[in-house]
Amino acid sequence: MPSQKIILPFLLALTLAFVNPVRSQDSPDMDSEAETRESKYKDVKRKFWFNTYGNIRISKRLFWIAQTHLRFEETAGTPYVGQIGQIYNRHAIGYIYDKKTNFALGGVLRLNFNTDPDSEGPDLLPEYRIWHQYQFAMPVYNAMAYHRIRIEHRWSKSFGEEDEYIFRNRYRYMFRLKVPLNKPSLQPGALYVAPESEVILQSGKQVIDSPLEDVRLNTTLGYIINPRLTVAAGFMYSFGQTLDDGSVYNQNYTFRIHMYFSPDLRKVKNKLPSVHFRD
Amino acid sequence: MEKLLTKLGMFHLPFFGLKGQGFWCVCCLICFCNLCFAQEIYEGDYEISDFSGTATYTYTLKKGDTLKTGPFLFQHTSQDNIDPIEIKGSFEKDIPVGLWEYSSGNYVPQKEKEFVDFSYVTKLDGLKKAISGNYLEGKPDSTWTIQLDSIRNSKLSSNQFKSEITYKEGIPQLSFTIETTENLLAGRLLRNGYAHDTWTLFTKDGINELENWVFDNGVLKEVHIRINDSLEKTISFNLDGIEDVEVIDLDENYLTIMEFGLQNRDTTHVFDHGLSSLLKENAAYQHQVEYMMSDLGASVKLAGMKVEVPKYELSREEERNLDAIADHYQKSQSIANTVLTDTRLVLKKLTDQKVALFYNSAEDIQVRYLEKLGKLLEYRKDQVISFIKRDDLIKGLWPSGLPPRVVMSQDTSGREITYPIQTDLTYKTITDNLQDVEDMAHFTEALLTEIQDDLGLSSNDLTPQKNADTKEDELVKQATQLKTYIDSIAKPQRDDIKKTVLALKENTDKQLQQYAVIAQDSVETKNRTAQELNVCFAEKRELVDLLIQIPEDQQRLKEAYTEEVYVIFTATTMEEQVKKHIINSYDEQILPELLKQLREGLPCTGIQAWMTTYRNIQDRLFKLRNEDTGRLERKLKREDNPQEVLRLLGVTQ
Repeated sequence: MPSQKIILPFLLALTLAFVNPVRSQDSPDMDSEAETRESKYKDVKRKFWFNTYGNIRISKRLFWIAQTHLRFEETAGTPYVGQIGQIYNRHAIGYIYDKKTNFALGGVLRLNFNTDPDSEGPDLLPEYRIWHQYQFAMPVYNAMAYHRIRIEHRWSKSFGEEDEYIFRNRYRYMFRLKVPLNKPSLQPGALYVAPESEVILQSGKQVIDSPLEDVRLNTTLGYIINPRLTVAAGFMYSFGQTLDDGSVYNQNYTFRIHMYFSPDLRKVKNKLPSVHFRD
Repeated sequence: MEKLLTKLGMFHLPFFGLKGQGFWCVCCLICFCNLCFAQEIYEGDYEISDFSGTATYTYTLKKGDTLKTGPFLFQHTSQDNIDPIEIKGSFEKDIPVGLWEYSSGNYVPQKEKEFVDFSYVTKLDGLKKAISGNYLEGKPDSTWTIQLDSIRNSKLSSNQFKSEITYKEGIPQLSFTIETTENLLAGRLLRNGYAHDTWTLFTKDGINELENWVFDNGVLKEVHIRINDSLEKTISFNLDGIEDVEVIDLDENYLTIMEFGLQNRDTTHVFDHGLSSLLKENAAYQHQVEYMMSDLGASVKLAGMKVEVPKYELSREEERNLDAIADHYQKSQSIANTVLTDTRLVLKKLTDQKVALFYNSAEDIQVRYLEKLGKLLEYRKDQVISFIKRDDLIKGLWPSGLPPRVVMSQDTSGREITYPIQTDLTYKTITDNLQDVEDMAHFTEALLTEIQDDLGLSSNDLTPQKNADTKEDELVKQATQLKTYIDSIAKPQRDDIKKTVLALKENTDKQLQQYAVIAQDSVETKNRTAQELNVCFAEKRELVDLLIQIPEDQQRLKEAYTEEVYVIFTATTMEEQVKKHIINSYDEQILPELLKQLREGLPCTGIQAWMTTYRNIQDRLFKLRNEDTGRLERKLKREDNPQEVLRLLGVTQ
């Protein structure tokens, strides 16, 4: 079948891409050990995220990104919302290059809660990030497609007693569609569906054989209440290599609720014209 | 002659170098001089198709007759006139020749004026119609174009209708097209003007075929109509076996004939819309040119596409029936007009039960009997009856049979009552022949004669208002005009506006009723009241015009309070209504309160003040758009008393 001719080399290439170059130079003994190794998927963890996203317009081209995410995860007795996992505070200053392009630079303070009941480590550890983002939108018929490249420089620490802060880089690419369902375009009153997928790669001294930190497959159903407020809810399946062992994969089912708000802090006289950036 | 001229030495003139050519040049010169002397120029008032204007043309007099020869120009235009007409062409001995252009417009001036080069300019919106084509010896020749363009801001905005038909010696032929903003019709004609081959109605993009009419040598064989994406309907026509057929023009009459013939098996009314309406519209424009040329003394034929239809000759009996129907109709209509336009009766029916019964009965008879009889006689005048089977004709006009022998009336309070019919004349309601229609027409005439007698209107004197009061006449005329106007505009209005204008109509009736009571007292009071009501009705008309503008005003207001917002999340712009509390206060409190005042019966003295308040509110709202209104909006949010809202907005103290 012609489709097999295409798919087989592609799968082979994909497999090779994840072969660890360090391992390929190992001794023959190690080779035989590698041949017997297989990737393992941990049990699925169920999570619930409540995220608010703010884009606050402060000048013709600048906006303040203010996001707060409350992330819960299951406990033995309660699925999805058993305990708080992380609280995110993500802030940045964004720059509107034109109607379809914007950039942002800012920082993140993440509060990680110790969710392992067997751990004797601290209950709470902060994590720090610097991030920058490049977003490009393109209209597709009556829908909009978005490409988002986000690079993060993170300092994080595990809950082990002897663990120290480690530095890693994250490279994220997300593709998202927003398709209006009941209106001709994304406008107030529009119900839209937004399928998205994101690949998160990482690098750093401690990243030995686990560059694929996360793959997120997510679909959201949203409703634009008015230009200033949108609500959405969706479900995400994600998986990625654990830092300690690249052959072991985490898996998550995450139910997500989002609220997008975009107030305009400019004075009336500065708002006009509000839409012409490069015309 | 030539020899004689040679002898006279005329050919020795230097510029007549060539013998033969010189001779003819001299002849032409002499003829031209003769012509010049005989021709006269007319420049003055002229009337074409009820339009007065000025015409400029040259003519010759021949045995006392005026023969138009040379260029012709008619213009119907003036400073105040925004419906100009211009006709430009040439005649040759009263026969149209060369290029003719007919243009007309129907424009509405915009409200705002623009200041341009030290003068105020009013721009126009509307529709421009242009028809042009050549005549060859009085017959249409080459391509004729009919074009309708919409005008916006005094500039061509978009094409609404365009047809191109090619003629040769007066006969339309080859392929033709008719297009509108939505559809395009392409068809073909034979050299003798007969419709032929498939005529197709496309969507404007040319992708979808909406209708196909298949003609064969002038005979319509099949019609295919697309009902929706998956369903197509085919209607076949069969003239086989019908011996008596006739060739007629493909115009609105043909489409009427086909619609009547098809009514039993076609619920889509194919001859009532789509391809048909394009042909009808085109034929109507062609007829307009024919009428105008006829007024200019030239008989031309533009609507000349030919089709074949079966003929159902009228029998002598049927001709007699139609003559009798026409006679009854004419008499009935005359009585109905007399009754319904008698201003004394219009007033008296408001207070007198007997007059109300007769007057309102006459109104019912007009609607239920006379209108359809009039339509039947129109078909006779258009000569279409002999192409429609009689049962189809009667079924088409009266689908549920002839109206029952009952006349409904109303008393002074508007309660429905039945008119006690006195005549013994009767007719069959379920019928397929014209004899029963004649019986019904006879019955109608008898009914109206009864009413006329009961009202004391002599049949010999059908203009009974010789000594009537002119002020009262004017009052009733104005009230009738106002009510008719309200009826004509009320139906498509938004519910709240419709209720309000209908309340104004009802209130007008009440005012007339009060007047009718006063009219029985003193002449002085009567005259004074009539004068006051005349002013009041004129103001009411102005008020109705303002009321029907309200939705448009609201839309303008909404647009003024709408902003385009760039949304970073979606990377799109969205419309957002700003200062919502101001617009909401207007929509939900002020406007309903203002309309309520009108519905509850605003006195005549309050109409001007009401209109001023309305206009002031509009002005204030437009001004508030650009003002800092934060505090005002917070107050409006808490306020639900319309009077207080008006005070907060600064319209009232």
